[in-house]
Amino acid sequence: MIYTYLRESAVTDAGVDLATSGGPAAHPYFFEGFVERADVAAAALLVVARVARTRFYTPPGMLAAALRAADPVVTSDGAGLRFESLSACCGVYCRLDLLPAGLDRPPHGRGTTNVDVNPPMRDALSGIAGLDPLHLAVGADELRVTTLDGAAVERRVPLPERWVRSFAELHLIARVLAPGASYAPAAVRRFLQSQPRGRGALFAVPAPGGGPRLASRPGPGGVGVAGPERLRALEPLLRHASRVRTYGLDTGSAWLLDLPGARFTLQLSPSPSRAFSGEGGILTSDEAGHQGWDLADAAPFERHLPLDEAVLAADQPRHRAAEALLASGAVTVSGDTATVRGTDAEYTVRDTPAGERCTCAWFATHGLGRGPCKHILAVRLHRRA
Amino acid sequence: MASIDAVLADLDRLPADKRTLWTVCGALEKVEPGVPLTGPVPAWVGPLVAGAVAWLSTRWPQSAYFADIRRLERLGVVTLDHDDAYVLAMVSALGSRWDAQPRLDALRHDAELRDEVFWRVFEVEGGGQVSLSNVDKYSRPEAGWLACLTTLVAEGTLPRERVLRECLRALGRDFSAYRAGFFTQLHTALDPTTEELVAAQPALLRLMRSTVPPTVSFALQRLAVVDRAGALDDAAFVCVAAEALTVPPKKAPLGTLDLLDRILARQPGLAAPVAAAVATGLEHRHREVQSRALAMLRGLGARDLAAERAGLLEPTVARAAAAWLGAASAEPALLPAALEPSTVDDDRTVAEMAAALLAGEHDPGLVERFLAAAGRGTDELAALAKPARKALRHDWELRRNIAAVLLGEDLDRVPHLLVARLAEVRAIVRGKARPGVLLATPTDPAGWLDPGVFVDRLASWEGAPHHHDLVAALLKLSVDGRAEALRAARDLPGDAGAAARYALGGPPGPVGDPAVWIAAARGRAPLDDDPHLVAAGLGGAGQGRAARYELVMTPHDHGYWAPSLAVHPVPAPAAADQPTVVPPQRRGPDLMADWLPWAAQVWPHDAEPFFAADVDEVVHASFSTSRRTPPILDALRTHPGRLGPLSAAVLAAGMTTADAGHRARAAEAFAALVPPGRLDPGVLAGAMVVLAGHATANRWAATLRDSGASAAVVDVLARLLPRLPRDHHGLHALLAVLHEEVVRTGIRPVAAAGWLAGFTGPSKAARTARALLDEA
Repeated sequence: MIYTYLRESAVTDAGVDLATSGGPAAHPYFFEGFVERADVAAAALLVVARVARTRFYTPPGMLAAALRAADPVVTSDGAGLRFESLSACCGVYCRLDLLPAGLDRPPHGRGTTNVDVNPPMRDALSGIAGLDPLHLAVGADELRVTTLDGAAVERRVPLPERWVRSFAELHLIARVLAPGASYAPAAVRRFLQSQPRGRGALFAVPAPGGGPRLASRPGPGGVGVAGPERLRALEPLLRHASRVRTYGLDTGSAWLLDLPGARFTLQLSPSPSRAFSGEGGILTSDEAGHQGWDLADAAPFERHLPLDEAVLAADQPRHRAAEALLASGAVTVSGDTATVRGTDAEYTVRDTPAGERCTCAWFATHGLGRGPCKHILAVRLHRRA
Repeated sequence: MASIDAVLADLDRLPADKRTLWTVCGALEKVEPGVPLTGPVPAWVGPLVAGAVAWLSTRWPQSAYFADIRRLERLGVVTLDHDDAYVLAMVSALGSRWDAQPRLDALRHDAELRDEVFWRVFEVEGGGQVSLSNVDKYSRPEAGWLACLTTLVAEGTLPRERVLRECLRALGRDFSAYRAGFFTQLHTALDPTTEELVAAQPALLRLMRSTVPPTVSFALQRLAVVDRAGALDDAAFVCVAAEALTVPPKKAPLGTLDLLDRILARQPGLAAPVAAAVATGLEHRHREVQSRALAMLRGLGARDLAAERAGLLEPTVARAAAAWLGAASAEPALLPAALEPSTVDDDRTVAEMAAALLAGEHDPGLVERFLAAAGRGTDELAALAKPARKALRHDWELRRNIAAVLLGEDLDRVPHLLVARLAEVRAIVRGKARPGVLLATPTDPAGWLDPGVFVDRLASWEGAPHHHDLVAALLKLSVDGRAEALRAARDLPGDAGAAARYALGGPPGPVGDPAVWIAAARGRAPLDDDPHLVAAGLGGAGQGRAARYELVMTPHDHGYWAPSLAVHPVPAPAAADQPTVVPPQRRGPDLMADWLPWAAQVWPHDAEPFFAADVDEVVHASFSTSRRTPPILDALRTHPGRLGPLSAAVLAAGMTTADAGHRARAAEAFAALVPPGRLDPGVLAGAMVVLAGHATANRWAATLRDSGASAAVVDVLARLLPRLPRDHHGLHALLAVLHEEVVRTGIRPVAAAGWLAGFTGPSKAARTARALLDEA
């Protein structure tokens, strides 16, 4: 995918000027106005950009992988702005919601686009301070565009499909996250400063003092934090937060910071080595893949990503494999039990009160937690046919 | 010598596999100087060099290859974008890891590089192998970038003022702590004067908001110099002071509070913003920072700011705050959730169980249920040949051995009862042994076997049961229902029947198979000597005599302490069918991590042999990664039997492991075992004394704190500390935890009073000891 920007984003005396690429127009113009707190917006934008260029997990055998960070995505719903990004490993998601109360006027239009957050801009953002409002422009109106020199800025990014799939999965995951404990930001900072690290499934559970502590087992109010060091991305924002809310599901979790005029969400995958894109939820979901989920409002929001329809429809390897099994006549159903003939083994798929079971390695490893295996999918297709 | 055009023409005739950067550079060394390029450059040369630049921007070759790229540019052979990748390639390969000269020469003599490209090293962060920090970390000190730049500044090749300024600008960028560290080092190495620091005050104030704690500390130290020169912008400093009060090490926050105190003295009008900043100090985890901040807030009368943060205070500071703010209620500590030894409670078929085991699941209940199903004989397993063949790749793991059972392959050569049991089931699966009901399948998640069920199973066998299965079953016999089971067992035939009756409390009989009778004796009276076996010549520890294990730590060079095992009264040789015997020196490989939950259930009566076999693993986890440590620590909580000195040693070692996740497990085990008396606090304190030289006292302190079991912490520390020398490294951390928990609980460490009174001098430990005595 190629991002094409009309100019580099920049921080000028007038404020933060974000260049846009793709979406409802080639270079959509979403907003020009003031954000309530300059320091909060700048710090949060920096975290969004930092997550996008961080690889929290490097697969074995991959040495010094070059980071080709995708650019953050911004969505306008006509009332507020949402800046989203995923880590290079797609195991950490973050979103800055600039709420209507934090903007001096509503955005101009609706839609989703990419924004350019380049190194000089990050440099400038890190110098923004103070409690004053910040002038922010997302895109530029026609008049301003015509005054630009017209030199487009292009950047090739290799992984947008994983982002698109991850966004679709995140919506499904986020809507079933259960609320956990909420903490004072200072207590969370102490927890993060204790450098919580560790392998395997770990949990953050409420400690007697009111802050979180690391635990090997879930407890009341606790949420999973596999790869807890990934949470440290939140640290620069804690000084601005009034409360930190947690949401959990199995070994994954989301951490939501209430900020002045804004909210910030950081979501961790169930394991550092697991990208959101492979969670398999969209295999069985009938819901549209162009929505996000707002944990604080417990409501969806629209997000039409560039290319999402094409990616979602075309690239579901498990689904394609299941269709191939069905087409080759590999599925035989007998009551609650079915057999699926693979290339060199036969698998048994069984209906049980706890859900379907299969004797394949995928099911044995993941169960139904990352979507059904291709054999279960094939049996479902057979039963529907 | 030849003209450059001729050389390039020759190069263009090279076969594709010879077209490398080094070939090009080598050929161009023969070029006649001063003769300009007039002819065409082979089309492949440009992409080749650009590819080399891209490669160097992510890899550090440790040699000065960048000079070749510069030469190609100067000759006009290539024209490269001086973009971020180019800058990083320069960072990577301008110099050599061993030799300072190439980098110095390049920057001294290549004016274009120095003036146009070099300054961007302060802007481009890099990553992985390529950054200023990383290149310097692995270079000889005199050959790194730091030495090069300080030399060039000293000789005037690089302007000092600009280098200092660019360092501060680089620190203000959004670089990682590791890579930002280079710029603090360079700025420090240039030793700026007070005047230079005063001039840099706006940049330094900006750095106080850095997200990198060492950068904040760096800025604070320099601003303190500015303050001493009387040039600090007080109002601007107060605006950014709160950020410095969140830096984890206490030095920077205490320094910040000092500066704020001085500002307050000379600018009383700033009291309100100073108070707001100081209040952040109450959020710091160190009590000295909290205490200092509280005192300043009290002086400022900022009661509300303090009250909002009262819940974050350490007990000693909270007590001081309560005298001012009123008492705050303390939440009771929560016990950790129960840890089930086995969570298998489903209706999986044998094929589904085997598939799960082949995929890496290792719940002991699942393993036992699979073995029981496979032991009865089944046709369902044939379809699992493919995943079983895949699982064979996981050498030494349980899943490899389950695969070996299914495929009839060799099991790993680990001398352990569990491997021997798998071998018996493998023989059944392959049709080489009689199928039947396995005796040792537990009837309880913790691994116990109901005696009545055992007798019924044994009675169902025609002829002798499988040897290792019988041994495993005898060791698991629960104490409940033995009398009834003994009556039912009166007619069981053979040596197995006699041993079963003996295990259930029946009369002694002739000792046939030694391993079976040892298991019977250990099942009959697990923690006592057995005169019948001793009389039969089976008097070794863990055989006829109850074994006592002791961890011995021996100091070696470089602070390393070697763990070893002492066994009393008489060590016996190891044998796979005698799992109650753990000799001092073991032979053969250890069980991998996924075996351990199952191995912990071998003898539910006593955890000591299991921990004796594996305590060294947890000890070594204080300085190395260990996949075996989590299941060992979990066994502390799941093992239903006696927890003795080796269990305590495992817990003590677990509390000082390097991995925070391991320590969290140890903290949970402490909270689950010590307060209810499952593990004796005196025994734990004794184990900590043995491990004290090896352990990191700060980690012990943090783990004890995290346990939340305040009264037990006081109990253990009051027993431990008097047995440590008063100059023990890290003692203050343990004393500080004891102090906080004493204040929290109101329990006085009476047993340690005499030892505490022996402290003299002004050390932190001595001061805390005196504070503890004052509590009494």
